[in-house]
Amino acid sequence: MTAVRRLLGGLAVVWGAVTLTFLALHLTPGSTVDAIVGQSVVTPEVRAQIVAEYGLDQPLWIQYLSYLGRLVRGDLGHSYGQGTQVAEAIGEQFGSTLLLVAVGLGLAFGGAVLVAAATAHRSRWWRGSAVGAERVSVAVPPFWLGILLLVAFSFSLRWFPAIGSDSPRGLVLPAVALAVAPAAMLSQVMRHALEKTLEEPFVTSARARGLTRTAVLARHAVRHALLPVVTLAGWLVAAFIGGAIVTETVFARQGLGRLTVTAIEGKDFPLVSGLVLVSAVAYVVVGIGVDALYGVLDPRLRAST
Amino acid sequence: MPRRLFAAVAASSALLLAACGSAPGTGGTDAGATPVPGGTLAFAVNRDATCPLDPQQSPASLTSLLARPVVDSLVALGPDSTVKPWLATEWTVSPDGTAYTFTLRPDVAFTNGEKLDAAAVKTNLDRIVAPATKSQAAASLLAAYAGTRVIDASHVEIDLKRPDSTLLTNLSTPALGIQAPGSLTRTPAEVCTQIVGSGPFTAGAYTPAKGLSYTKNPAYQWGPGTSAHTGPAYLDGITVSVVPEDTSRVGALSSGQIDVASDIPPVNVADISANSQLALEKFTAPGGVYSYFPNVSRGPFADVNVRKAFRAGIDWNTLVKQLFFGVYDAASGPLSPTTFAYDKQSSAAYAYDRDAANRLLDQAGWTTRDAEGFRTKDGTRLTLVHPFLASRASAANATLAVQVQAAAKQLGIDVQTQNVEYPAYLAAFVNNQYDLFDFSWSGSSPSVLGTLFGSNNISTGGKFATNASRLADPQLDQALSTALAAKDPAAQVAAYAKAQQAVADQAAVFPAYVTTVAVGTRADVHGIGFAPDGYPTFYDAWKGK
Repeated sequence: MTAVRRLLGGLAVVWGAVTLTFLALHLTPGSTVDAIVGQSVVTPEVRAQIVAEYGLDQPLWIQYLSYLGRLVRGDLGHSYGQGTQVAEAIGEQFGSTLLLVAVGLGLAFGGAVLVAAATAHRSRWWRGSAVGAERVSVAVPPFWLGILLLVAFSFSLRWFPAIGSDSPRGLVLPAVALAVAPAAMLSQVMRHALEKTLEEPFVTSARARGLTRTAVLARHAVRHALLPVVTLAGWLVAAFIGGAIVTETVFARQGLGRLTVTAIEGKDFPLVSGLVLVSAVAYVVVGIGVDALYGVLDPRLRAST
Repeated sequence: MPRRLFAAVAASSALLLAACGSAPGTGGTDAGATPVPGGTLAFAVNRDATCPLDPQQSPASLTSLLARPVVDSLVALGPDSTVKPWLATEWTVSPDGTAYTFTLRPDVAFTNGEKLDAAAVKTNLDRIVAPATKSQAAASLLAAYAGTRVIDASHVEIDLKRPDSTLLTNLSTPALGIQAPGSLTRTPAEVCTQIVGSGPFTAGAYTPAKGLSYTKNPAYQWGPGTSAHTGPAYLDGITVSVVPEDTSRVGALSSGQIDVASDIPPVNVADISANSQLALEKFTAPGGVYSYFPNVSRGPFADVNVRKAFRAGIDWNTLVKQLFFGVYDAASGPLSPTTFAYDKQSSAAYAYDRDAANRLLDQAGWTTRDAEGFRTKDGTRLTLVHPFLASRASAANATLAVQVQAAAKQLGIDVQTQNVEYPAYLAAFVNNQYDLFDFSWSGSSPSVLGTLFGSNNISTGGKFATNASRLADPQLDQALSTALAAKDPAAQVAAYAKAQQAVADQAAVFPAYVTTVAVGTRADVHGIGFAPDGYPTFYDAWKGK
């Protein structure tokens, strides 16, 4: 029952996102054929060909329904700009972005756990400098950070390739640039949660049983502290998808972020909505995953669901 | 050469500018050094193109750049605008200028094994004008095209509906290049990402946001008459990566991670020139310049004195020098000085003279001032509407717009710069709702004058056309059609000079700057050439050890 409700909710989110994208792109002034032809001088015959090929002479609601119809059948349509199937255009870039986001997420989580555990309830100076560094990291524009990393570690030290590399070494700088701000945010939240947990009576009793601080942290406290962090997962997905656009541009990596920029610039409706669809599905999947994770992390929630 | 209007608005990138180029190896330095064959060249460009490889479909200049190593043309265009043989060894023009007969080289093979013959030429040209190709630029280069007649395997005749003296120049571009006929039976989308030609390189498939790689065609023996060498290319291959961020591209070049970088921003030019490990190749592209256009059909600019005042009252030279770090030159006329038939005589009309500007405005009756210091006539302020596409403008062009506004204010003119989105921008242009419009239009032939100022190119009835000043001057039109019909270059020069004089007399353009293409290379890279349209070519290129 709950699973069905969740699935329906997810579908509603995806449908809403696609519909909003359709409206946003079609209700802004200017015809789609102008956007496709845009800056070129074309003959009336070519114009008519474009209109007919993309069904742009149909009323808007028919265009919408036929788009939804194709979507249900799993057909994302044909990109105006890329000259290929949308699914193909996205598929070509998907792996690269997924890898970047996965490594970035790993770095962000790992870094946040380490920093939070190492600084929770520690000396004022130690904790204070961590908080300071986190605040700076959150505030630094990812674009600037990317350039800074490039100048230091690629252009000067030449440890890592600067642009468009598929090798694992080429992944390091972009993943770090992408992970720093979310990691700083996460470690702030996590430290707060850890410190609250460390004041709980069960921690005192655990320490009284002779457990070391590290053991208490690892076995009990971190698990508690993960709860608020998991709640942030939705925000994290957004941060990483948005961050990917900037990171992929600075490091000249192929990926969905770059594709998104090109698609929006070209008013390439089928491609933009395909990309929105992918993001929406990612949100829904992460949302469902987080719900499941609550149960794992916090046994109290298992009884209530 | 019609191409992408508003190109310089859309980006500062020279690669975006009109795609109308020609033969490899028309420039390049290092005449004395002995070329070393071998090696792969790593080249970074600054953007992606939609339909990146087929210039018969795509209007983007990047497409011309990427297609040029693969696709040969019937003829090649030299730096002095002379036409040289390439796939065609010779050609004749009928007395009325409407039939061009070409003799094809007998030994040319496409890299898929097909042979070049007259039928292959016909297949290509017919494909370009077919509506199904949805050609956004190439078809307009064949506006006068009536058809192609296959005389025999090695002789082909192109027939025109009317004389067009730009045909040979147009045929030299990759847009009208000859692709392997068998490869054109694929869908247009497939051709977009993989093309087959007879050129010095073969191209792999293009991946958006990533790029592609080329491999040498070892059988190549039919280089253009404009190149420095014959036979196969020196390089074993070229890899092209797309690096949109300027800092990344320039940094990758200076740290030796790539060999050649396109579109070096003016701010980095001095650094690269000063670096002994790097070299800078500069090329001033022929064609239209980056300009502001007055709308002569309405408002204050209907008065030629107001137009002349605006032209003389703004110190374009100083503005341009400051904005582009002295790398770009201020323009003095609607054409770049490297364009064939550029008229130096009429350039005097574009001199800065603020006193004259104020006198002209007084003469035009804008004598009184309002509380804010703007000139008025009969209680109406001297106001000019300037739609501006800030979201796609380069930082320099955006700054220029602000400075033009400030300089106009000094003259007592209220320039209202309206930041709009693209569709509204296009609508203002097409529906004649502006006084001032800015963009650049590149192209290698002086026929851009017709594109920009011909009365047959004024937008009407919601249809987009390229005459932004909306000037309709019978004398100018006459000069332009004389130039198109003239077969003799001297007669073309005379007619185009008349046209440029008419544009100056009418004050139909406020030219801002001449785009200079700057390509950065490692010092050991030699023989990079420039096509007339300003993109680098690699047929003569080689890497030293």
